Amino acid sequence: MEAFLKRNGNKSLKKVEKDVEMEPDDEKDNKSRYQPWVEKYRPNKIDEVSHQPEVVSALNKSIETGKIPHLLLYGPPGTGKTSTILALSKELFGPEFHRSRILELNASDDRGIGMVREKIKKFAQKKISKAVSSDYPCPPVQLIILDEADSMTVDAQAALRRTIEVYSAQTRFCIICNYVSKIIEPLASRCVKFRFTPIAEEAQMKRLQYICEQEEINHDNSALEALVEVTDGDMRKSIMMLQSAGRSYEGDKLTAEDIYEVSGKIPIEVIQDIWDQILNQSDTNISELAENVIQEGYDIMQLLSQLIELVTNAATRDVSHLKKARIAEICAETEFKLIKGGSEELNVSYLLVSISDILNS
Amino acid sequence: MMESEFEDNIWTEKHRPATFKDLAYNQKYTKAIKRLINSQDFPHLLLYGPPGAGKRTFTRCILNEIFVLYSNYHIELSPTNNDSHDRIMVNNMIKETAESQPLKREKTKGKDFKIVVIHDLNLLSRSAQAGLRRTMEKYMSECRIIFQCESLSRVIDPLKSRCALVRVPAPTYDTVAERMKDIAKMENLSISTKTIDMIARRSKRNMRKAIMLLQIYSVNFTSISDIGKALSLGYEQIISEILKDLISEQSATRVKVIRNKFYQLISKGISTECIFVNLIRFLMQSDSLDSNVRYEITKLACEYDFRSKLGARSIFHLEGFICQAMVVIKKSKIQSGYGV
Ligand SMILES: Nc1ncnc2c1ncn2[C@@H]1O[C@H](COP(=O)(O)OP(=O)(O)OP(=O)(O)O)[C@@H](O)[C@H]1O
Ligand SMILES: [Mg+2]
Repeated sequence: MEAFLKRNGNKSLKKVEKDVEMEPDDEKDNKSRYQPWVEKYRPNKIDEVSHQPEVVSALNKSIETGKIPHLLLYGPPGTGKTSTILALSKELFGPEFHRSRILELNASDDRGIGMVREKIKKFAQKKISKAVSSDYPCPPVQLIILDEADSMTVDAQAALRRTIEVYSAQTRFCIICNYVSKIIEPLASRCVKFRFTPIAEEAQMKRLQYICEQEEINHDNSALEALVEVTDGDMRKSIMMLQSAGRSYEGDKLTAEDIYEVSGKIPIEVIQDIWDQILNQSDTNISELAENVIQEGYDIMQLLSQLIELVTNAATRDVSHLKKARIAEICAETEFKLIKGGSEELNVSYLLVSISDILNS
Repeated sequence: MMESEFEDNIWTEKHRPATFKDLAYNQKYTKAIKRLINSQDFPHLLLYGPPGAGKRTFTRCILNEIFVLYSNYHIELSPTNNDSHDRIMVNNMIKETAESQPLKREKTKGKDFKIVVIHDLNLLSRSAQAGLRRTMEKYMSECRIIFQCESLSRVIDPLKSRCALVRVPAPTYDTVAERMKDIAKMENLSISTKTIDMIARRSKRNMRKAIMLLQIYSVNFTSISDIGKALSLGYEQIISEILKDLISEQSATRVKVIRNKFYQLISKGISTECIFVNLIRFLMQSDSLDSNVRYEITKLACEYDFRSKLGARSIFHLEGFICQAMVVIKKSKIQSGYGV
């Protein structure tokens, strides 16, 4: 334990009593000055959530009628799941009550069976104050948000099944996860399910355009296109990259190159060069080639996906389909071994040697 | 007090740049990152790159750039492998830091957030990484995290998408040589360009290793042949012998000879991965085997390294590898008609 934490100074951190109510407006302004863009541009209203029309219209209806079912939101990272639920609670309860009416439990908390029961029980048994707020619907229910529920154990989920039923009179559960398959069926079937899809190009472009205007980023359109291209529908990633490129670019306009620079993508020339060297049978170089890839610090997963991309595009037309399939197989094997903890250099060596073997046989 | 004296004696610490101004290399990245962190709202950062490329130095420069007195306003965590409590630990640390008293403005150049540095992110278990997802978002405005890791492949996607990624490549040979010359000058060490070049090559673009070797040289050696021997770093010598043993004869007695060498390496604290990596490096350089055999052996090394990570006794896997490799070599010798 001692070795785990190396604390530099500040040994006696004192907790500050946090005000439960919202901060006054000027404080909030001040806070947003320090907010990275992904937080700053998190949708505040359900209507601001882009590209998820199904969820938006369903939840808007809920707000109107004040009837909320148990929810299960799932989908890939950065598509608006957490944002949607936060926006929902704000719109339902307003700034005055939204803190006291929601309980957020996430994977960071200890979520054994006991804890789930205890915390939820404590929260759910609380009497709800009769809220009188003219501006917000404030239905007489409270929300328990289980974010990142895919890392909950099966046992804990099973325990939750019963809990949901016991408290369903005034408590609604909202389960959020990336992989719906990790949620046990009896739990999933108690909820209304919404699938979040990767954000489409136009929707992303619109949002990014808006942020660029707000932040006064002078940009070339190609930059935004590049962003959409490299992030595969993960809106958080594109906002994140927009900030890191937008705050660091040289020159007078943000261009596609600046984006590629921060995206972690391996330059296409480098990939092509590796390919050419392998093709040229100069296989004594292969360990040097592998060493070089490692020393340049490239992300090996990125290398794999870009190799696959190269193999499937027109530039490698004269390689037979069978060979391509075998290369893809090797890439898959490498990916598996890396995730399970295999050595990067060995695996890259093996990958390159194998490709050379396949191409030159 | 003791510590600083100690640090002064170690060149890698003594000559570690403290501010962006002093950074001798990676200029292009330096400039970009400096612009980014000079805005008040910069996001979490994830620095990745090979060992010795300068991630730690980079972090120190970043901290120095953000705060005047860096060391009192941040917290550092180094996760260790196989720590089953890391999830709770890391999260509590971040929460505690984020909720602690605001900093005094004049000491932090007017910034209102704290910094948590997490080293070796790739050693953090997957569940701990998953546990960071919401915590990172929740406390983003109070607390920024600077992650460091050697490889991104074991970092989960949702975490990558919550950070600005910064690649820190290893310095080139020339840069390493330049830096060594500078340090030699500062230390009043006379050293020939040829020796510097040799050390630079040996250290494989790892700045830390190069400076360490330079210091060893300054203390112990004067002649070039001496340093040649010393620089082959003991274990590399043994590994290259193992490869020679393996190629020249395939027999049970040879396995025994090699086993002793493996034990030597293990007792020196050389990791199994390091042994395999170096074996393959030497293998690729040797031209006494044809490419097909080299391919087979690389495949084996990859497989056995992987198994050794899942298993517990590394000697089994090393030896299993050697036996299999012998089979491959023997077969090819028989096929090509000699050595029967
Ligand atoms: N549909 C969307 N509309 C507008 N902004 C979005 C949308 N999706 C994501 N974003 C942006 O990305 C950021 C992260 O989104 P959010 O936290 O909702 O993702 P998530 O789906 O919960 O991802 P994860 O599965 O990684 O938790 C938001 O702060 C917002 O800036
Ligand atoms: Mg989320």
